[in-house]
Amino acid sequence: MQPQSNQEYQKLLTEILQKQAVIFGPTITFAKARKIPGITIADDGSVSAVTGNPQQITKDLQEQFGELSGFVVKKTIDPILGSIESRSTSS
Amino acid sequence: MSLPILIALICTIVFGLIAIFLSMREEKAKKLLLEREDQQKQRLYEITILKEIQERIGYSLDIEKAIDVITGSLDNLFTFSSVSSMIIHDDKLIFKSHFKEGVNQKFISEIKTSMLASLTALEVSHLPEAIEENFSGSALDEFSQSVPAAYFHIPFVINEKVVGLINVASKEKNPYTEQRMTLLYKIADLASRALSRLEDVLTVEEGKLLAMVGSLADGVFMVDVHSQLTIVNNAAKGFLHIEREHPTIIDVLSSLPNTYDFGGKIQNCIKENKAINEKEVKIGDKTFTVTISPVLDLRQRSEPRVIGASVLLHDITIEQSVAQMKEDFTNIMVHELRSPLTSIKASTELLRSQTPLTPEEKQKLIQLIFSQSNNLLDEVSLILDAAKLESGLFTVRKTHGDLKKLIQDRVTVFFPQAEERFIKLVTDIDPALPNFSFDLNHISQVFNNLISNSLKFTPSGGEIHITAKKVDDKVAISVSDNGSGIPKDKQHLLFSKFSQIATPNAHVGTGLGLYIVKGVIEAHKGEVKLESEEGKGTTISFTLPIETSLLAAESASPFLPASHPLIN
Repeated sequence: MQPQSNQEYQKLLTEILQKQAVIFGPTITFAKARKIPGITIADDGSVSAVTGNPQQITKDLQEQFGELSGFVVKKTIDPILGSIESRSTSS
Repeated sequence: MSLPILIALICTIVFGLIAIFLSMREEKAKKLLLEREDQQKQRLYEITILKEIQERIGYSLDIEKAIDVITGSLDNLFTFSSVSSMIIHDDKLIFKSHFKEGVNQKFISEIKTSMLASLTALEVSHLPEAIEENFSGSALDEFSQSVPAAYFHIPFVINEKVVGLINVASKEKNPYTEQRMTLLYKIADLASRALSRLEDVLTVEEGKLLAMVGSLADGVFMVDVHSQLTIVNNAAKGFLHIEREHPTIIDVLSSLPNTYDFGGKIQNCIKENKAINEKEVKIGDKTFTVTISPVLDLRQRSEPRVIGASVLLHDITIEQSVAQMKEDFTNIMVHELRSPLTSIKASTELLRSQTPLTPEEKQKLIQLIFSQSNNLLDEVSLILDAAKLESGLFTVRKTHGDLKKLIQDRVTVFFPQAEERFIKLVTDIDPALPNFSFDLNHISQVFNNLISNSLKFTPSGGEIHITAKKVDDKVAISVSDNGSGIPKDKQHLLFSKFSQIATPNAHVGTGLGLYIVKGVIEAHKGEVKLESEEGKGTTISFTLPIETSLLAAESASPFLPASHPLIN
């Protein structure tokens, strides 16, 4: 199911960032995430607010982490976004 | 306010604004310049690192070295407490850390745990449990209370496969800018791509090498220093009767004869860097020469390292049987020439001696000398023709002739011999066969050889059929018998120079007969064909082109090697 509310997006983005933080380490992960307009990152690394267009934010996330490793994005972010898009198409 | 004061004030404000504007522009230009300088430095750093990686690893695909170059260059980018790497090997992880300042065990432990968590999250298919640790730089400082306050991991990926991880950690909270960290990822990515390309090239080259080894007729297998089988080609699997697609060294060694201790010899070859040759090793029904050679890593040319051993199995079964045939041929030739000579010598001695002999006895001895001399001359002519055929100097002298008459004459010559053994000699010759050009002497010799051969291999009461008919612009001739036939595995040898010697038959001769037959027919631009079934008989058929012109009366032999006659 595609996230409907900002809270759902917050949860999804937090999930993505936490996974990236394990892979890349928190320092670079949150530095990259803080460059993306429209989201606020709390001190614990969770996404505390989503003010921008969620779809644009996810694209920006792909782009930012793609600068670190295309392989990791393909392996960890693309499947999550792909499953959201397919659910959205089927519903 | 007086006008001069007002003008002065306005001028001050205007000049002040201009000064501020110029100062701001200068600041902006300085900033731009610094940014450009920084960009150039980063670019230079990138190029330097990549060049160093290329120089240090060459074509070795040494991921550890590439990572060492990157971690060793970090001083140019960051201040850090430690830089670590974790390389994935088949059997273990190698965890290396270099410390720029004293850290405690907890600091190291946290780095290691976070790196393992990163590799696990990357779903590395096989993460070995064993970890080999290697620390350098500042000594451990157990009094240091700090833990990594900032750190990041750079996965090292070669062709979509995670092969290692770099970690940069600091006790300070925010020592790294996002831009500098991204630069390091970019460098690692460029290095990974270069190594991926190198791996592609090496994979292609390895494929070529395997294809080449696979296509060799000789058996080849390679063993590394840990006694693991790295390559085995199909020929080796065939020779050793190994059916498994991916055999182990145990499969290979257990197929080799125990008496030679090949396992020990391979170890010795690796240990002493010395080739070992084993001549005439029997494996099943075949004989091989086995050469065990050390395989060297030539990258360090001054001191090449032994990285394994290759074993070459060369099948010498045929060479050995040919050598045996040649030896037998020599023995038989000596016998064939010696027998008539002995007989001539004995007869002559008797004639020269004072022994009283009746005129009939003298006549018998002279007749014996005459017939034995003819036999000797025939044998010598045979050897001479064989030598000419082999050297390509054999020629045929064609004259117009009647093949029907020639065949009948030959049959008449052999008739008494056949009758003596109750063998029927039957001819079926087309009466409309025209006269044409052929070498009368050599074609006579062909019939002599074929009929005498058939007589040798046909038991009493058997039959020999000789046929000749016109087919288009050729004469098709066949000589068939219902004798013992020739085993399938010997048929391809039949027209070779020493073949008859190898046949298990009591009626041995020089073995040159069929070799000459083939040479003579091919010199006439005809074809020889053999059909034989063990226990049922043999048919040797051949064709002769009907040439009426005498223009090509003398032609050289286009003689082909013995493997060429058509065998059905």
